[in-house]
Amino acid sequence: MIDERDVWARVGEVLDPELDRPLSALGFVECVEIRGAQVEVRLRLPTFWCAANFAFLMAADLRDRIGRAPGVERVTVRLMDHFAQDEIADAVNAGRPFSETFPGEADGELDELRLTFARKAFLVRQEQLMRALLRAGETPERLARLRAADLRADGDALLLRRAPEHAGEEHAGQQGAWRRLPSLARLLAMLVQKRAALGLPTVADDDPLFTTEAGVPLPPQRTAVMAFLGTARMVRLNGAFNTLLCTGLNRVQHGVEVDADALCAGGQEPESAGIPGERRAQA
Amino acid sequence: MYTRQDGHEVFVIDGHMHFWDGSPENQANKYGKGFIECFHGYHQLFTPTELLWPLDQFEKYGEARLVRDEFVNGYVDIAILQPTYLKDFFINGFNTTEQDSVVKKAHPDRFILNGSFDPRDGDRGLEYLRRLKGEYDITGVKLYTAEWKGSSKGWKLTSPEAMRFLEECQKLGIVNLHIHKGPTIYPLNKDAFDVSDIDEPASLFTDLRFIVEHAGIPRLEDFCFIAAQDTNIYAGLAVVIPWIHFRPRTFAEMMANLLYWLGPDRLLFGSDYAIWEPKWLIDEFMAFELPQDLKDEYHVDLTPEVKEKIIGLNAARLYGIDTAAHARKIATDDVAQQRAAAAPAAPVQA
Repeated sequence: MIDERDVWARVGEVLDPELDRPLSALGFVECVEIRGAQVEVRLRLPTFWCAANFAFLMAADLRDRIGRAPGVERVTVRLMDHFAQDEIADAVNAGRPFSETFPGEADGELDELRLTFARKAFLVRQEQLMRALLRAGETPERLARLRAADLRADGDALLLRRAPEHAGEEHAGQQGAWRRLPSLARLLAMLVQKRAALGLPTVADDDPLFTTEAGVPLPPQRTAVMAFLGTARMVRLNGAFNTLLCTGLNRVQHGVEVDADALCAGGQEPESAGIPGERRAQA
Repeated sequence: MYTRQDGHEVFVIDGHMHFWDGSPENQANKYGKGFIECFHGYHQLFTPTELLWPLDQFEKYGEARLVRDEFVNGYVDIAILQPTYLKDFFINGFNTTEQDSVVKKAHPDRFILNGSFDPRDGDRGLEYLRRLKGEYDITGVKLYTAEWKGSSKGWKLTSPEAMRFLEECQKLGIVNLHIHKGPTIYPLNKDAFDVSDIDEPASLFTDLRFIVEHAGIPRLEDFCFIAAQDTNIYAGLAVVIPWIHFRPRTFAEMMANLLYWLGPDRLLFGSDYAIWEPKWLIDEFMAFELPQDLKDEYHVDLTPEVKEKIIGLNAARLYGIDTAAHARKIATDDVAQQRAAAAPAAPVQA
């Protein structure tokens, strides 16, 4: 017996690779139908002309994630009102790669595309955590010096090791080597998830926590840290613009209402770690 | 002309607009239908409710309505016709140079007629470009890299074939290239909205201006990073300006970044008519103030002088238009007379 809530939970793990937000929260999955051991899922993107490669990735990821739910023997994805709906759905449901979906029009698979947008998502997620720490009073120089072991989750909160020069002082009733930063654990979890999705190695305790999208530690100068944040902000704003555009078009074209402001504020939940690259779902 | 509250007259150039036929009779297939409906989606999302057009009006509006919306009601002095051929989707094309030439001929001082080329046409395409130059003396082209042609779903500006066409443009004095990205591309596995293929030609052809339409949206950040490096890259603000009504804060963030990365001299107003009418866009744009926090953060401002550049002077510079002389030339033409007749009567002096 397939649990429908379980299927929807898995839909919530699939992200729009461009917007870095769950398909369920974006309102792109129209419905899930369970018949015995078979699941049919309908994907309706905001416009007829949404990019074919992103549509393919979302369809393939849906099939892959739902296919792992207990009791599911077969997943069929249907793409609605899209210029390439049949080509994409047929290929994904048969487990064929993108390159064979559009013969002569592609010169490879979608690994590079996925990686390009995972890099952007990484920049944005790291910027959100760095800005939260700056708002909490840390300096740019300190951020560049932080090691992985200096920051850890404690429930919903983050514990941040105090800079050595402040470790012995009393701070607003919190004494000791660690500062408690309420409700920021989510930002660290999201960053760690995206690091894994990018294929960056797990950060060892003594490694710098914040890096470029290539995994290189940020330079220690204040100006370099602020330049990183400036670039990342533009990437974040662009993601927010596109989220507003896509959810807005979905509203006027298909009547789907979602909380666009919450999505733009970074309301996405961390997905389970994924490996970048083409997902060839089991046929 | 847009008349400011202080009485100052602002010359208006609509840098990106269309005279299209998307009617069912002209749709060749589901792609043509999907294309005009997608445009109509953009129209519905951003347009003030009381100004919405029904789909059938939007599909085909004709010359009289265009003249009224652009020049009589819309403040526009000169409109730049940007053709989009789409012959695989529309039987006679969506709006070709030849189709656009009809309104240009009827109102020669009100329009700039741009042409187009497709590198996949090879020698025949080069010959066509020379013919457009000879027949219409074009100084600009609109390039749509997502145009379908047979099995091909698009082309890149960095291809060797495209380079031949850019060389020909330089030779012919076709210096303004309006580039429209997405939603398909060759190869299809690459980002369909990628703007990175503008960087190399812009560095190689420094005499040509690369005006990226809708400022590269949905890749505004990549566009800004590239445009910061090449001073012959410009942003067309079609699709940017309408955010002013839908999400004013988002519009302000976009403008702050465009002013920060490109400066006030490389931004061109465009309505993307008939997706949006210039009147409400211009009314809201001329009244808009950048919020103080963004002014402080980005060290930019949207002053009346900057607005005047964006709304007309920048495009005038690229197209070699003497705005004062042109204003005199069109002051009494047929459109100006329609406008005078439509204007509310001046208050009677006691």
